[in-house]
Amino acid sequence: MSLVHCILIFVLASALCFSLTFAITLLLRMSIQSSLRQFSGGLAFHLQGLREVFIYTSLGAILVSIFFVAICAKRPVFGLAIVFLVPVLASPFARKWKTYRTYCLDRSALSFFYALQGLIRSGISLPTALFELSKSLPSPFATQMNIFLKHYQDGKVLSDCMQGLKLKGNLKLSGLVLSTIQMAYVRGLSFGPFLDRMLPTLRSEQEAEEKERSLRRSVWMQMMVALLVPWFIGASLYFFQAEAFTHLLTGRTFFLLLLPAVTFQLAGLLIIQRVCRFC
Amino acid sequence: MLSAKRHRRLRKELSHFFHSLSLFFLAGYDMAYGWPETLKLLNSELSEDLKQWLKLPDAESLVSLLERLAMQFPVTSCRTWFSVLRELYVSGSPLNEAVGNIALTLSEEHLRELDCHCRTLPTKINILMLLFFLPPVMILLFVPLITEMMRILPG
Repeated sequence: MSLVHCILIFVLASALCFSLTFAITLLLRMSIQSSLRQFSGGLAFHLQGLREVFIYTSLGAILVSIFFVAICAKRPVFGLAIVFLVPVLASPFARKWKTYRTYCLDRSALSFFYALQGLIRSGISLPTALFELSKSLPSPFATQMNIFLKHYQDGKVLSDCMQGLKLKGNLKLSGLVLSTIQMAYVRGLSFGPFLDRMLPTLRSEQEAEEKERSLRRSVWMQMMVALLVPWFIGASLYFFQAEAFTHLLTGRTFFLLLLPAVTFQLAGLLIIQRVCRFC
Repeated sequence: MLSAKRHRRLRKELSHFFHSLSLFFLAGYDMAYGWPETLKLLNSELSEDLKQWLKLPDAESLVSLLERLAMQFPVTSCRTWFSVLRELYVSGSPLNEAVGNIALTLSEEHLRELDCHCRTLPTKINILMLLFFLPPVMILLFVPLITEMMRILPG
């Protein structure tokens, strides 16, 4: 079996390994979250688990991939390379996932705070308003708030529950509003003026972030297409006109051809990524 | 010399700081109380370098801190606001509206720059993509074809 075929099988096995791991983790998370809604209290707080779930499923997926590569490529060393690849690539994936979760929480927080503003203006107290909204609003922020408010029922102070949500959720913009509400609640101050002042700022900052995010996403799409198209066309040319590539793919010429191409593309990727970020 | 990104991040966090500080004035507190309390409140939101700048040392008064920030704060466009705050604080003027407006101005400045960034980004990206992704296309597509033609053509 040729080197190119082995590389292809290795890439396929790695992609399979990652997809399996994340799919199983996500399914488990969804099923656990739905059972959380049915059972009160304890199950939520004993669940440290998704990290462990991810580790065990990724270990299982690694073993499956090594077996797959060893059978198909007859070169187990490619399968063993996955053992090193998975930890290296898993942490950026996990970081991206966490960033996405924070983004979903932040985005859904605005509607929660506007609803809270309405309830506070109508004279409802803060704990009652938070409980009502966390049970009735169908948003990720309300779901997270509901989980942390269970601590309040167990006897913890409301400000500690909000602090827990802020730290666990790693909230950015909505963390600021939550800190302000926490401060006002601890000092026994009225929330109305605070929310009146903070919420328009939060909305405009979220709109700005949304605009920047959608622009970055479109830049990434363009970059991925620009990155993959030369290799795809090169592979098609190789498929139809192999003799043009034959003497180039052996020896030093191959690396002299490949190295500048890969270097340019990687450099472009890094530079464009830095240019895209606003702050 | 600050990078532009760090400049923007500091300004954004400063606007958050002033927003939260204005809430203490709304509640009737003085700036000497509100300033360190706001820092405590935003401990997890602010970056370490901004916290170092805004921290009120034990041996220093708020007025001297504002003077120092007006002279040495890394974002030069924000130094004016610290000198304005110092003047208002020393004269005993109410600070609620001033601090709220400073926070709003900083936010608007940030949003204006973001708009400008979003407008100019597509052009920059097009140029960078031509610079960095066109050569690999040339290398991967044309070099094999040219070498094959040179091999086939006589002489």
